[in-house]
Amino acid sequence: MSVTEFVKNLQANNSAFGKKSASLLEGKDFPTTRDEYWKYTRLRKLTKNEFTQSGKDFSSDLSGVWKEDYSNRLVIVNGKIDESASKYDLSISKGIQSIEGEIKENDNINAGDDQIFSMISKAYAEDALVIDFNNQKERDLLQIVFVNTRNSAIANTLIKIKASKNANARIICNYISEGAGVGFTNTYFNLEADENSNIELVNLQAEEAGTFHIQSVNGTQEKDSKISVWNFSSGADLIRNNVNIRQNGKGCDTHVNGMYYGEEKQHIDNHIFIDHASEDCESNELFKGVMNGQSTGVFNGRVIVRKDSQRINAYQQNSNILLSEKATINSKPELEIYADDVKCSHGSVTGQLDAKALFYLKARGISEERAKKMLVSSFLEEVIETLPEDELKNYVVSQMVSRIQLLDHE
Amino acid sequence: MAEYTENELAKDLENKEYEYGFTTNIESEKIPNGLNEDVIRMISAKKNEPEWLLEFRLKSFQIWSEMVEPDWAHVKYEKPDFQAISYYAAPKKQKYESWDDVDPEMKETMNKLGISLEEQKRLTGVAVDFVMDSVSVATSFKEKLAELGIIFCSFSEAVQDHPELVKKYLGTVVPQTDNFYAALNSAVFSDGSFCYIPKGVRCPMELSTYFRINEAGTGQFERTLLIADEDSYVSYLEGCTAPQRDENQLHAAVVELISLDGAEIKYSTVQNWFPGDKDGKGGVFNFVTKRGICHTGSTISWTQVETGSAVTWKYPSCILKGDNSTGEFYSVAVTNNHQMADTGTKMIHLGKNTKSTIISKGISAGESENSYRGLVKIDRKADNARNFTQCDSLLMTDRSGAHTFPYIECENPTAQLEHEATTSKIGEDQIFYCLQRGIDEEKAIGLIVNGYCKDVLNKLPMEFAVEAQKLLTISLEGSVG
Repeated sequence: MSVTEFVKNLQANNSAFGKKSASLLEGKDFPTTRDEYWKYTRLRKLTKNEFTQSGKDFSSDLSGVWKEDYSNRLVIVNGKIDESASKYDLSISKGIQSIEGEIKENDNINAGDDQIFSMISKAYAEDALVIDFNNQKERDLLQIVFVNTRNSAIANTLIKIKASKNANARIICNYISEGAGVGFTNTYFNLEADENSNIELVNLQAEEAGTFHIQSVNGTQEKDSKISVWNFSSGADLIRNNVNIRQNGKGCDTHVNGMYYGEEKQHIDNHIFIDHASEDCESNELFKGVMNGQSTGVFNGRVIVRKDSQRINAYQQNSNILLSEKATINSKPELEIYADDVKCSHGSVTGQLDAKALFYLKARGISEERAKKMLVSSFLEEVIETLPEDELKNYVVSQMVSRIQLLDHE
Repeated sequence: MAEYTENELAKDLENKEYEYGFTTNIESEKIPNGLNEDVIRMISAKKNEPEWLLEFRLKSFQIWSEMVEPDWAHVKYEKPDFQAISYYAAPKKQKYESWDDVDPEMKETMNKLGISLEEQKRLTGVAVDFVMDSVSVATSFKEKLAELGIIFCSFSEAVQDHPELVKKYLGTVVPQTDNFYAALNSAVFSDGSFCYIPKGVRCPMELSTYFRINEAGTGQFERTLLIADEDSYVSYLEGCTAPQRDENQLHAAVVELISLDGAEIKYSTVQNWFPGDKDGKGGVFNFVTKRGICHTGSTISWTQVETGSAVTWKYPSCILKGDNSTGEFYSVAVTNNHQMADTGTKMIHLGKNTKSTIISKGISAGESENSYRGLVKIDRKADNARNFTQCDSLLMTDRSGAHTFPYIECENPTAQLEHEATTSKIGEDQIFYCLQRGIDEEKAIGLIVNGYCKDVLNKLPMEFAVEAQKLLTISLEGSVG
């Protein structure tokens, strides 16, 4: 299916990179399962729909979503910033023009990924944000809520996050949907972590069935910086997360963790790429998934250690539980190593709930349903535990429990 | 660390010549280069093949002509020109009445390879089918095996003597359409080995085939078909070497194993094709399709030690079709200088209670690239399937690469799959420990590498294990990062 057909109702933006991206997309087809990086993800159920750029009226009550201690709040509705609902005292530039010069039409970190969706985002985004984190003293906290009002709405958003030297940023992104019909959220993040800075990005993807969510995160790191990305995914019919991080300086640390739960015919795909382009760095990946119904989960973790990137420690772990007969999991943890003084490992396990543990709980009078919930929760908790603060952990559980009923929440 | 510097080690390593790089001056009959229907008809006519086999070849050729050479593997090489290869080369004097008739030069070749038939006849009781270029020249112990009803002969003989078996099983595990090189092989295969173990028979000796590419500018396209009938057992060994030549020689074989109900096949390979010289010139392109099908309660076990070839592209696989069947894959792949290997396995679980084990050990030295690529697939209906995969990589130099590309696909909730992989270099503490106890660095590395590969070497039959250990030492002497 051609991209041109898919974007025919959309209005391209006026930026130079937007025009360039649109021209790059001409004549292109969407990737198919014959393409290595889309081997397990069929896009047909997304691409067969017609989407239109929609207005920014919404009706959801966000009071249950806001995290009280975060003074910086942004609301983005169908890809456009809703000023009336936002408040902040960070240095933020808005509008497509603000991001001109900050991103390129093609800033591909992962050569294997064709980035068609980030190009669509760049060409058809109606709004953009450039957020400068430059507070040297304390951590800046920001919450961004993305609302998709469905009814064929497409939400393309471009966000650039810059953390200057020694800055410390924590960003929570909530993705919610309302209304009926199909809705497509296609976000593009560009993270730039300067020397000794720290960027934490927590994605809470909790849209409803009937929606589609594709997210591309491209990050580059300088000396001694740290980038952490968490993807909590459930709800939408199709979720695809591309996280591509390149370590350009010595002493970088990268963490990409995720938790996913699928039911019915949902499809959740996490493609993580970490490029160790400098020495003395570390990376960690932990992805845990529970697949129920006829859902499909995909994990593809790719770690490259470049020539001369010595003393690298890289770990990848992917664990999955299949709860139903018709659920599927595809796991592909890859390592490509061109330097010798490294410690790299990956592990992947797939199985079902431990029958003995289930029996143990049931023998103590706990219902099967409750016992399952306990086991699934404790399985997924390992990912939640990687979050920095208890309060944040509780918040994440409270936000995800509407989509992951098997999650324990007191 | 010892005074022995990294540079010196690298030099030592580079100077290690290929000790099997001799050629044998035997007059051989070679058809002109190129590939078309006439060439296929010529090969088929020379071998006096029945009509159905010619048709099989021609159909394969047609399929191949429409295929594109794959490039998904993690290897870089100049694609062979398929019109510049001679598809048939046979030593001129064929069919020896007795061992004494065999050309002395050829005997010498075999001696150099360390597989003197005479000695093996006397000492080891291994039956050898020796394939030089494309024609099988001598098969020993045939009579003894015949008493048990075991058929072990060259592929062409099998076509003449047992056409019904060949026709029944040829192409059933690796169909003509399978991949580019399998299609090519199906069109032009010149000879190979055929083996049939009757019901309930336990083959009393290890069956062995030795392949060697001798003639310049020829490709070796052998075809192996091994059928283990119900409740039988066979252990099959395969060794490969090639002379040292500047050009790249192509080797595209197809091996099909059929393990019927309750049968067990153990297939071991020591592959030491010429890997090219230290600058990466020459060497064999080894593009092989090996696959076995397991029926109810049967087992197929692949063991391979890969030290040769400029480019390797090889995935011995098991289709676990029957319930309670088992697939095993044990592999050591060593690459040095400019070698490139993309090797691994596929375990396809279709039956219930099927089990598979994958142990893969990769060692990269010099400027080589060594990749593990494997698939574990659990079908919707494969209840209680079990897989354990371990793939470790050892890096000897900072210019080499070690990669892992595992594909794990699971459609059944009762499956239990475990995959783990590590990549590291030889620990300095391990070497220090050995040095401290008076073991020199060379020996220490040998010790550590052999220990690292032990899980796989243990699976090899005795005489192969010795050879494999020697090969490991040859390939790795003096290399540490």
